[in-house]
Amino acid sequence: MKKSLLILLCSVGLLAQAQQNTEFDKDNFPNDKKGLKEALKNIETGDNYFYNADYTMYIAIDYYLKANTFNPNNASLNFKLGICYLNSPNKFKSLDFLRKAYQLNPSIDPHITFFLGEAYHLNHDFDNSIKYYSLYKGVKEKKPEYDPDKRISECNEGKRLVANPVRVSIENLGPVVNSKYREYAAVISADESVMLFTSRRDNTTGKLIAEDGLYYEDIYTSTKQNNIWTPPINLPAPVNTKEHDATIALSNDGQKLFIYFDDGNNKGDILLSKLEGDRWSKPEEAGGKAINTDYSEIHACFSYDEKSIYFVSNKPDGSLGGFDIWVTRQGADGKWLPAENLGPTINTPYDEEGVFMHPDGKTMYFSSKGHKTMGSYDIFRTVFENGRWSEPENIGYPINSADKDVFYVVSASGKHGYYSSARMDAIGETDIYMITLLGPEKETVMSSQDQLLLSSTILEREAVIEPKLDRKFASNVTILKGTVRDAVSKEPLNALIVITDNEKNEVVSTFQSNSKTGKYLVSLPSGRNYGIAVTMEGYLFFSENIDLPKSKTYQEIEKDIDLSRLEVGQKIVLKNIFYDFDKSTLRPQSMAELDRLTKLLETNPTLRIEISSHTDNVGSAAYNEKLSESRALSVVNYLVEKKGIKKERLEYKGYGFTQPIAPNDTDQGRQLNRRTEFKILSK
Amino acid sequence: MRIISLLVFTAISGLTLSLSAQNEQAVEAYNQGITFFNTKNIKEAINSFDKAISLDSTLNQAYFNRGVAKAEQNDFAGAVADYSKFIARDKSVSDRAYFSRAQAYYLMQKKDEALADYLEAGKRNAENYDAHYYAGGIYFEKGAYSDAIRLFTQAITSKNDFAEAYHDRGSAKQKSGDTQGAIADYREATRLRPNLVQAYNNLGSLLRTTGDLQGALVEFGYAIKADSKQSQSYVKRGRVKFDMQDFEGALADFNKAIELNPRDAYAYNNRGCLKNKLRDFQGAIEDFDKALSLDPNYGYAYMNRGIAKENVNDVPGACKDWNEATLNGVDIAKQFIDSDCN
Repeated sequence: MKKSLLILLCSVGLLAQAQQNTEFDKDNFPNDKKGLKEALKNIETGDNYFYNADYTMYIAIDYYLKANTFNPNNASLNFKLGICYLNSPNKFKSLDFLRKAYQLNPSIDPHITFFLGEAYHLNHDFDNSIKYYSLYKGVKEKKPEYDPDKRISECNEGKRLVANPVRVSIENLGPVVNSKYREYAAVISADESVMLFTSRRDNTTGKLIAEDGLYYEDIYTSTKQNNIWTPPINLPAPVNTKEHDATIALSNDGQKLFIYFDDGNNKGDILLSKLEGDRWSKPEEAGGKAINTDYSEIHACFSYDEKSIYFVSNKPDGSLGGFDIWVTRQGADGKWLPAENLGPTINTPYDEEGVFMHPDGKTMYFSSKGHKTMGSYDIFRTVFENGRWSEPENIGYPINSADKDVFYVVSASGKHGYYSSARMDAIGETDIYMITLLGPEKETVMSSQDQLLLSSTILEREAVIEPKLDRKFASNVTILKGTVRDAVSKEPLNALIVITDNEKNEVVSTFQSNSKTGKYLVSLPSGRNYGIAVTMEGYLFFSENIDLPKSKTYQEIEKDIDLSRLEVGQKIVLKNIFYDFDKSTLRPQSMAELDRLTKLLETNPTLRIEISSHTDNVGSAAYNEKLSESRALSVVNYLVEKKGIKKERLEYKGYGFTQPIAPNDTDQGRQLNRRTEFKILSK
Repeated sequence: MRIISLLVFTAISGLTLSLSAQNEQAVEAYNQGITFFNTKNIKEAINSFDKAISLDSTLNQAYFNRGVAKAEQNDFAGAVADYSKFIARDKSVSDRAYFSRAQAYYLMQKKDEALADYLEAGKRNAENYDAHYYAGGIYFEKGAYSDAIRLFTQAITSKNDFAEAYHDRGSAKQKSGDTQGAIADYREATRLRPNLVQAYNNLGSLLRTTGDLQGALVEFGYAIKADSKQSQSYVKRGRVKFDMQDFEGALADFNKAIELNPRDAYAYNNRGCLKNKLRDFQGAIEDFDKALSLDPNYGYAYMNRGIAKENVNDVPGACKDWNEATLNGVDIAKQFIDSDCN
């Protein structure tokens, strides 16, 4: 009995010795005074950063690690290292140090069980995390912001999400884009051809170090050529300055950039810069007084039609708590209307952040600490349908993690998301990654050989029922893009592009092609019949009609548009003029196109034109000639009677099917042949 | 080939004693031909029949026997020509000549002509159960399952213990949607011939599609008991075990199938599917590679390999495979391309 007790006591003694807290004391290191002195110096330097501010804590890590190499068994140093890592991009590294600190001295800090819970949490060890958060519940003097119950519920959500991961491929954009420094807040054009992001690399403007020990933020841009991102270019002044300049959001066409601006006095405002030719304009206050306040506005994003701006602010009036998502809409006069809070479906008493409106016009991605997160901010997805936002849905693990997940942008196709992360394979502290959403896992198909007939030697592969397809990530948007050029010189034109909903006869959005490149890009959510008009002074306008049923999935249409100068003999097809079937009655959907024609005639008062109508070859020549003539006359009558255009300026002609522009042997060809044109007779 | 050999012996032995020829030399050559044939000297047999015909062109039986001999040499066109001469010279010939010509036509892939001759043979002799049976088989191949069932039934009527006819009628019933009828026929086939592996396999496959996995497992077990060397029974049983989430058992069966037949592309494909399920994507890709090396037109193996490649983030590789799958008739791969490759 005595012997057993002795063995037990010896074992406890050995254990205690292995876990004993060792102070940085000369008695403990009698033979290495120099090493001790150096370690103490490192601790002192580290403490300067540790006790300065949260954002300088990570700088202390290098100093503390050196001291920790000298003496790995000091509870205080291990605790401080753990806390430093919790305040760095590599939060998951905090666990080893906090665990050691707790083993060495469980009383090293009254909140250590909370921090330890957090470290397990960040390492997705949810059971241990819950264990330590639960222990923290028993601590008497808890900090109000350390809410173990909320954290435990996050852990439970984390367990659920990790058990049901979404299928994604996460790809580092590589060393051309990412550096050994921090890259984050990547924003893309809808077609993923242009990317801008924020970096704290060593070639930022002025090359100055900010108070957190990192280079000031600058905005960089890269374009995708032959599927490869080009080396990023630092945006020149006036966008990048010696201060912090950070990306927030990019318009779908890559022509407008929201920038975060904080000069230390304004608590954070949103600015807007526009790409004029190949230069970004001086950033100006975005959304007039509808967005920026004396409080913090930290994020913003255009709707697909640029008629709304969604933004994040912590202004208190109308807030549901912390940072909320708000929206301001453009009035008929072009002014931005007072902002509205998106309401309790989206906003919670906790913080919401990083709003992104998808080019499909209805899907919003945002980050929140309040919805069902697996820790800190998670990214959520909601869809605006039938006048309301759907219940936000966590987009899942491994896109979301227990750490802060914000600034997530999605391509128009819905297949790619971009975000920054401090993953294990990161080149720098945080890198930009592209996530490919793979959708639900596809089922493989087994098969075998059947010999159904013994009367022959024929073997057949067993009939297989093909697996179901799930198109959860399919996007319902069409991207129309290309270049607007002069028809003869092929010089790019800075034209106005007007998108009209033909059914409602209302302008959906207006855009400008780039003045230097002539490039344009518009997003057209499915479910409408669009009239697209491209106009420029001195040129005949171009019109196109695109009908997109609600079910139409993602597509990109590349269309270069050549505008012809106003010259005698020039003619264009009016693709958005519609008649009732077999009649000459103009349908209401034609009004926007007729208004454009009216404007052209008003702007050029000496212009004389011929309106002609054409048919396909179904029916007799006489019938079609008569139908086409009466249709051309309908247009002329409308212009004269409803718009006051002088009759003498207009001629009309019905050509029947004598001037086809396509073979009449297909539906598509016949559709092209059924058309209305106008031709300039004199200027 | 089984069918032709059977016919040859029947045909030749039936004519050996015929001595009605006018020319004794011709008869001698003719009988010599039969002797050569019976000693497997087919070439000399044909020469002897040639000689007999050259000596006495009215010796019709020589045409028939020469046709049989030519068929034995896989000269089916020559055989058909001789059978046709035999038939043309004597309109009252028995069903046997039509039956023999049907066999030759069938092996020439002239299935319509074969069917017509089998039907004629059956008409001339209602007891010729083989004629009904093979005619039923051709109807089956043409997708005319109700005609196939009718002919198989005629064969069974002529021969009550015709296990093969029960089996094939079961398959025709399965194809025409009569699952219960098919199960009953397969079961009767196995009762009549307890070693009929195909019947167990087809019954097992059918039960699997009805959701009776346990029943299927039992039938494949019988198939393996009847012939433990056939890889397909293991391939099929492995599938059922996979469906029953018995992944270890499924793996053992696929491994056994590969051991028995290292050229069984299905076994590799199915094992690849299993490995994909068990997250061994690289192992799955290797198995699909092997399946495709054995059968380069195996559309589903392309599709599956694409899925495994997608699982290791090799999306370009996946898309290439789905394209190959599409070219090999797997329609859903086109949808994968549309949704994930553009």
